Amino acid sequence: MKYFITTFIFFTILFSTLSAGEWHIGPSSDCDDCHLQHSSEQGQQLPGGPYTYLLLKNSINELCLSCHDGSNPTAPDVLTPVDMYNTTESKESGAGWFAPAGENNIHGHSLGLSLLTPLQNSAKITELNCASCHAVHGNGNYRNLLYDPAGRGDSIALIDGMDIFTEHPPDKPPTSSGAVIAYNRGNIGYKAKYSRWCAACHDLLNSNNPSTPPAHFNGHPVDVALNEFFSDLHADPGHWTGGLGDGFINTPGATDGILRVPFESALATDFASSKLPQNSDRVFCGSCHKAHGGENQKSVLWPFREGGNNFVAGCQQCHNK
Amino acid sequence: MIILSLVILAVCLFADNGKYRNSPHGSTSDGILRTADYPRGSCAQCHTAHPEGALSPYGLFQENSNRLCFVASSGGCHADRPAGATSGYPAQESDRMPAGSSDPGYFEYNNGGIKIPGAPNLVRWPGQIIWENVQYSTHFSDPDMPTKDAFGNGACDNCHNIHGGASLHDMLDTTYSGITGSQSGFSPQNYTLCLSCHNINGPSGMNETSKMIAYSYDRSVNPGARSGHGISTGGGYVPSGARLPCYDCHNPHGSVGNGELGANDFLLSDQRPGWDNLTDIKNDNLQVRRFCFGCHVSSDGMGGGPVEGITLSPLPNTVSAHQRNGTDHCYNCHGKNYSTPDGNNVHNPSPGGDCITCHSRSQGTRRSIVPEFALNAHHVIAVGQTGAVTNNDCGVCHMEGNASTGAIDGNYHRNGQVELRNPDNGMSLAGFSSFTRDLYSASLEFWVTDVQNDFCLKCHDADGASSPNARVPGGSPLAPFSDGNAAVIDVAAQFSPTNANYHPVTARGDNPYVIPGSINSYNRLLLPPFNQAATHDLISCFDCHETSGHGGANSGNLRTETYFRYLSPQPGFADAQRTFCGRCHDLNVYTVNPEFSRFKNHDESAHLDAGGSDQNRNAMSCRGCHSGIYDYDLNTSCNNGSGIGKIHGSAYANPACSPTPGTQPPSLILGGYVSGWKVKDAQKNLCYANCHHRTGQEY
Repeated sequence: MKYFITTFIFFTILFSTLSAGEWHIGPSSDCDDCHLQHSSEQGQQLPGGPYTYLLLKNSINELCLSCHDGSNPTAPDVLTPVDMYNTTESKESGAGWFAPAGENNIHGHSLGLSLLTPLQNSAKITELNCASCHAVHGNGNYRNLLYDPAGRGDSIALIDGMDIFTEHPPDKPPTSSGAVIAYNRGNIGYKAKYSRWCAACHDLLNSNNPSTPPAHFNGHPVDVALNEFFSDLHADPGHWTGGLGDGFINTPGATDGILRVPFESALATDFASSKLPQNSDRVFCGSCHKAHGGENQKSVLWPFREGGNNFVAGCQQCHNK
Repeated sequence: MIILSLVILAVCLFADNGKYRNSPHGSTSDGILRTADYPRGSCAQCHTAHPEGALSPYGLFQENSNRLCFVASSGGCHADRPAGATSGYPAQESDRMPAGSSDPGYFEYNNGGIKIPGAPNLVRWPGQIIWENVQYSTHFSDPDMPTKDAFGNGACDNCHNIHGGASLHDMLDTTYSGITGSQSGFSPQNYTLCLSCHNINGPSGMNETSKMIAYSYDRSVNPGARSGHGISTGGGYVPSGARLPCYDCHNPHGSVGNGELGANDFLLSDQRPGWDNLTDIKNDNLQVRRFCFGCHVSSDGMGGGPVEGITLSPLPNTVSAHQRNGTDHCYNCHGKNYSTPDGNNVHNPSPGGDCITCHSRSQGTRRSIVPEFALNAHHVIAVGQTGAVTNNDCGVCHMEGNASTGAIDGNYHRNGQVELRNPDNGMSLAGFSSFTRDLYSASLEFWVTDVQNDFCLKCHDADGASSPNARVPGGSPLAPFSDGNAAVIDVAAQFSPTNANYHPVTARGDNPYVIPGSINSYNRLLLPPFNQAATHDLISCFDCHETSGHGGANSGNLRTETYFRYLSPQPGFADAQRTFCGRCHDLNVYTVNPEFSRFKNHDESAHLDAGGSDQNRNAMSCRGCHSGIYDYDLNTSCNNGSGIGKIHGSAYANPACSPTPGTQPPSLILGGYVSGWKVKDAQKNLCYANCHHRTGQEY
């Protein structure tokens, strides 16, 4: 009877959140992917177990990374080194990758380490795990991102097809090729709200700081169209939409440059339109940073701190100084 | 559509076109390095994306102002006066890009034409302290600067683009390059940076003098190689006709004076010896000489030095002011007219030493002279001819010039006086500031008689210009000018009181009838101011001739036209004589009330038979009988001595074919209708003419 009740409640919760198409939710979620009901399997005691919430691993990070560490080719790899996207144009996923949990990662967010949260008014010491950002049992948001990541009562909806657009959903059941197509950077287009989600924790960035003309802001604004201050532009929308020249890869004669950085297209109605560069495109956190991390310090998409050929490439794509 | 157009326009205006990475600031090896937290040249050297520090516009590390450039840092930046390059500030000739390099002449420290980067090598920059000198750094302190920084000072980005600009040099936002190519086009594109502001459309508060500078460089306004302080001959990498770069004389950042001896005004550079304390070069003779001799070698071989790879030749020694210890202001000859587009000034210097060039246009209070030689009557060029007056010609008459060399004599030129040359001894007459003749006074001004007697009549005499100093090379006493056909007329002899008739120029006349007295019933026969009492006033050349001796609109440079040079009477001839003679002689007496004159038949209407009528008067007026121009006595076999050239006076004697052979007529009675004149007795004379006087009319 107890087993029946438990099972009933579990599936009730599970099917109540079937509205979104992300993983770890509804039919795409198998409980035993993460949980082990009796802390044993086929008579064998779980080594070190049992663990909290009947999890298969001792921590959330350990649990998540047991699949997302590249060992399971159908699951997106988020732990360095990542090579599953090498066949794609960007050779990386949208969010990038972490260093191993417990390691101070200067190239992105650090997992399993208590650190001062940067760009946060309250400057809290925080230890991040995967569930700090993602709803482990899924929710309606893109990538199961939490509605309230800072625990302050926010309700930030980032809906695929509305705020974010993807062209190819992951295969069901998941396949290794489908994972590559679904999670590579090129399969994602942005429209709105992403910066607000980041600023839930990094709340010093919650608002743009207005300045006095001819400057418009003190510091770099987000969610402001490139051509919003058309009478006194500091960006170069023509250069941005053209996609050739300083900062851009594949420019004839150029020996450097990077892929067009992600951007929010406020006018987007679908994936195709979300990927079409326009004068009204907006910078958001993801334009410069990868969510998990990358090869450059502070998870910048180009070697902004390291130097080298592309050290100002991302800046130049918009500003073309 | 309008908004779209504005967007496109804004994009064009504000896009920097990706120059940053190739700019000195953007260099990964030598670029900006304020903080070691980021790579050299990184945007983050100045900007922060997130407000981690103090909030400033554009995310700058401090308030957006010139001070951004002056921050001391691990990279140096621009607070200090640079000490690199050849010998630190100021830049020297050796700091220029050499011949064969990408931009010869531009001040850029280099090795074999390859720029050696680094802030310490930017030795045209005098440092923050000099830049912020409110008195002598006008680009910093002038409230009319187009762009001001957050503290109200002229902003660096009036000229510089910290992200890299159109110029190849110094992160300037507008083209500014070396001298090569500046010879081309109406305006030198090389210097667009400066001339784009210093033109007639410059900032509203800019003084008008500064706005004229572009005109001085514009060869559509000022043709010829001298505009833009041009270098006519060229040499080395400097092409012929190149215009001098602004930076050869100016430093837009201010000055401290060469050797730190004292700042210069007008943003004059500190580069060359003597360029210190130049605070008033427009008015201070010694200052301007120090400035000019900074580059130009004096005629005695002092000063100057290499400029743009060229060592200038010494200035001509024909001008005493070219000596190093001279005291004249250079602009006296080379111009300081900054008020008109074609004005000669240091940016568009007149050649100096060239009378013709300067005086082809007005100079200060002096009218334009050279065009007067092209008028109907003129000196220097032969009668009826046109031709070019030379600098040498000027020296024939003027002490300010030198007839032998054509050069200016600085001892006389621009001393506020006109000093004419005595043509017999070559010495100076007393100077005058303006030559005038008061026609309402019978008292001749001393300068009038001086010029008449020691200048005009010293040349217009039998020996002409007997002084070699009053003749051009190859000239002769009787043809002293460059036009050998311009012969001297002996006028002095005509005025001789030994002549039977003469106008009273060199001596008083002896005709009692022109003086009010019993002989003419106390009637005046001359108009005021002459002979209104019992005197016989002298007149001067300038009672009949214009005071301008260069040339005039009327034949013979007379004050009114008489048509005397025409071979036959011109329409209006009679009236012209009445007008001219009537300037002094009271025609009211002669033609209306002739009974008060010598004889009652002075009335022109009484002489209609002589030569036809003109409005019921004699067709030749006075000159039918007095110094008649045309031989009209109807005796074609006998010349009546027609009086052209004899109106001044003459010793004419009637010829053998005349009814009165050998007689010398008084009162200029010759020519015209007259064929003879003789004294009958003490009271009467006999006149012979082509009418009823053929057998002699008694007067």
